Amino acid sequence: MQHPFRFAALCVAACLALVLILYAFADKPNDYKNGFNRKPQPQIAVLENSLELKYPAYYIAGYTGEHIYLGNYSASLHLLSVDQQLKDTQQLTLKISPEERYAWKLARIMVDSPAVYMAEGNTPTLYRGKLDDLHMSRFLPQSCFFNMLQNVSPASFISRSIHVDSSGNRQNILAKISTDPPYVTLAKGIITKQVDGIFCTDGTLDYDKQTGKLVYLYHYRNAFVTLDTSLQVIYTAHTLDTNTTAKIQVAHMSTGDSKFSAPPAYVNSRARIAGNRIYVLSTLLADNENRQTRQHQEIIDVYALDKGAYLHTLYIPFKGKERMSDFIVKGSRLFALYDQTLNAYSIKAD
Amino acid sequence: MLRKTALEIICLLFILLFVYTAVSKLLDYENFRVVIGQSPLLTRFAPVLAIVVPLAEIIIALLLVIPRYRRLGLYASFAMMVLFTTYIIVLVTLSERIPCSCGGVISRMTWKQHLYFNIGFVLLALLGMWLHTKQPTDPPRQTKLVHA
Repeated sequence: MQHPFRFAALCVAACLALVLILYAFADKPNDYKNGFNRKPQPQIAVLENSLELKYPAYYIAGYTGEHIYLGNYSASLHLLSVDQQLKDTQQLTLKISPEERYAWKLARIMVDSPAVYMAEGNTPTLYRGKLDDLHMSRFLPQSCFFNMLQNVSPASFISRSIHVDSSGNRQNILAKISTDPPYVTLAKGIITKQVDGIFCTDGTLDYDKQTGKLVYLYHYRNAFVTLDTSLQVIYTAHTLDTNTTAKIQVAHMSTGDSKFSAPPAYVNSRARIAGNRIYVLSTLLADNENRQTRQHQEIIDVYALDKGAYLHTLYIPFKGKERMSDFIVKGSRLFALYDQTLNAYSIKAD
Repeated sequence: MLRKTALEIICLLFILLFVYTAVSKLLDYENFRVVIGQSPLLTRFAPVLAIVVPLAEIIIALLLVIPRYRRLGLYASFAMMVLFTTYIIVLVTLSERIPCSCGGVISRMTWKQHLYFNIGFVLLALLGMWLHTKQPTDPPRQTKLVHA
């Protein structure tokens, strides 16, 4: 081997071949048939407005009739207000006393006009203020620890918290936190354990003010639960796909942490309720869809809110590489958030 | 002289890199094994790779320390860095979700920084290999000193 460059070329070729072989034999999502079909001729959303955001890491904090509010994961007090046409933006900053201590990385803003809340479930700490002046003050000190929070009225919240039973098993459960005693009411048995209790029960929660219903959608299985604000189950329904049991592997570390030890089979990203419909952002391809469908489009399945029956499917086209992280539906418009872009689509049925 | 110093520095950098990453992987072995399992390319080989990768890094560092095997060590360093780099490129371009499982502070880098860092070391290894091949043209006395 007196020729380093010959060796180098050979080495590059061999490594590339090896890694590509590994890739070819790796399990990839949507590589096999997923075993379900969507209704043919999905409705395709029409992009109407687009706004480039100055920073990444935004999330949807809420909306009013006129505006959409975005919070930012890396700047807890920053709030961006955007009008319906995505033309006027306004940078807002929540005002909070400088002595206040909270886990700012975990704090999330919720806008529910005329109120605005900021909550963080590790301490736990809640703040409340008015959207007009943004002066935030401590609120509801009797709350419990949580890893997800949804406000349902000025006096109550639904949280997802970790419950530890007498034998030390940890599991996500839903709870209602309110300003009146007994402050915290646990609702056991709504989120059901399949593998480890934490990862397998992970999902998203949304609340519909109009009907007073909540939907909890699991990330790793094909199910969602519809509830009322006193956490009574109205029904459990299934999304189209066939993942009845979460396909995940979880390793429990000696430090007490748990981690995925294999790539998880992610099924549904986000559910949003609007106008008596449940919109579910899905990551799986149906058998009657083209393999390229998800390359430049997101797939949203629409279900009826009353019983959870599948109605039709929406395709949301997008440019660039970043996939949709969150969305909301307002009337016949859908607002979708990507890494650094907010898009407004028309989803008018014609 | 310059060539010799450059070669020494390159070898030293590789020894530091491999020993550092190998030790941080082994210290955090439990975590490392789980996290490489999250990579769609490596799930099946995670338990084996969790041992083989840090072990290979230590062996390469040893080869670089022992003058007789220095050339072999340089070639192996190059191969290792190319393998890591192609792995990153393939994963970043072809996979939708990407986990990271490198050792210590190196795992704090973004994918782009990581790629530049790796390419830098690939080029460094290439330079080292070239310098080492050139060495026999030096006066024999000096070569002996290096190998002493």
